[in-house]
Amino acid sequence: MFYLQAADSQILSDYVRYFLNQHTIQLGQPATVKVAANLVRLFSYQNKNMLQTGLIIGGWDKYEGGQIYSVPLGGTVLKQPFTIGVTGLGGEIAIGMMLLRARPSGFRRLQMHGAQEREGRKQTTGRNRKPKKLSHTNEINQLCDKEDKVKEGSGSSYLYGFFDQAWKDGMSKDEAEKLVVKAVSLAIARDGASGGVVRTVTINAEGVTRNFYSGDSLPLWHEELEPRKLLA
Amino acid sequence: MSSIGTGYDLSVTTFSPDGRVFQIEYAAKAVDNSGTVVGIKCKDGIVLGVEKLIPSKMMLAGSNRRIHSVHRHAGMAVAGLAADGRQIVARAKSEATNYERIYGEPIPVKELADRVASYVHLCTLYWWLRPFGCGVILGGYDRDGPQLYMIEPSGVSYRYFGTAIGKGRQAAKTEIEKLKLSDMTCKQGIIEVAKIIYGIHDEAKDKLFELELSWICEDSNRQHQKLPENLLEEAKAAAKAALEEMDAD
Repeated sequence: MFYLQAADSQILSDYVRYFLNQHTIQLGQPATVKVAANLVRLFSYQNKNMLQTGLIIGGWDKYEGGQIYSVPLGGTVLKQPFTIGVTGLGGEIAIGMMLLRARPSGFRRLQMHGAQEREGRKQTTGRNRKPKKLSHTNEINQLCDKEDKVKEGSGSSYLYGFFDQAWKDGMSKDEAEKLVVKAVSLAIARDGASGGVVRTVTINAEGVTRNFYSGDSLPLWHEELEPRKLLA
Repeated sequence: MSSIGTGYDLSVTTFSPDGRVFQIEYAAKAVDNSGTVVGIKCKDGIVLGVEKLIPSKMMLAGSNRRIHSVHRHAGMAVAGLAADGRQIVARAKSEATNYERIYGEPIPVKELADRVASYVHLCTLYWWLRPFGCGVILGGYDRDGPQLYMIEPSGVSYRYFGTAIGKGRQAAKTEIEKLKLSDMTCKQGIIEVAKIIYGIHDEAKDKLFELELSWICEDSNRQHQKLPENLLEEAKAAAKAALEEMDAD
């Protein structure tokens, strides 16, 4: 079931990318984030009996600036200032957040994260995939990342509480990135199945920027143990 | 083939020796005999106008409309066979709804024009079909602003600042060229279109006609709608006044 989810999200994002590319050619200009989100919704809804995947769609387009959409299990689309998905099994957290919601034409960014596997286990390609850049121009950079199944009692509810308190409209890019890394590290602490590294992606008018935070650079919370260097 | 003419004009699948498809040209003839249809792109939107010729006084005013809404943000005016036009409108509507279902946003006007043009063109490719006996002017307002297209029976579509089809197209086009479309608002545009259609109408040939007007602009909330009754009357009055002034000179 677990790999199945990874496979589902991979296939789904492949399909969406395929349609987006086609659409981009047809229109002669990059697709909007909304179109990407709607395609994800369409496929998620039409195949809801088979799919076990939720996605966060974030991106930037010239019409509406930076946007985050979350498409959870059944195929609902929700445009949100930020969204979080956490799994109890996969050890992953995906967060999408939008900055400067109030300024449609302004500089907007968003961040997406996947907390990676715990140390000591080999990294696999199936999980914790890097988000993919979908378009070939800088004008729009779609990003599809996996938001794994939200398991009851897992860390997402803690994170929502944290975000309700910590998220502000109009944060700077660096503030937001810090907040996201902190949030993911908190979720790693709360959620026994999460751990490893943090990856961030920022999407804005200039394009996509990826960042990597290794496990030993993350803050520790609630009597968390230091990561053990098994390979050293 | 047996009597007059050179032949090669019965099928859309046969070219004449000099490379023409006569059936398409005949279809264009059907358009050229219809009441004039005018479309202009103003700085803030689109105005469509139709000189709808009335075959009978017994006909209810406002029936057999030639301007149709395709989507919230797009409308079509038909010249030529009205029934053929409805077929095109139906297709345009389904293309527009289909697009929105899949992509979650309204169809761009360019895309709509392309799809409708493909459909019109399709009917010029098979022996068991006849080309549409109508041309359409498609106006729309999307996130890139107002746009105007004309699609002919051959399936070509071009984008215009202003254009006309039907009987009075030549005269109408010269009138449109005189307008300063780039700094004209739709409010002024409707008056101009009304003037053009009233000015072009040939009393000697066709006694009765009804003016049909529609617009897409900020005043209509960027949606295609037929002109509100009071504005229509205003436009008609202005057109008639302008006409009388011309006659007096």
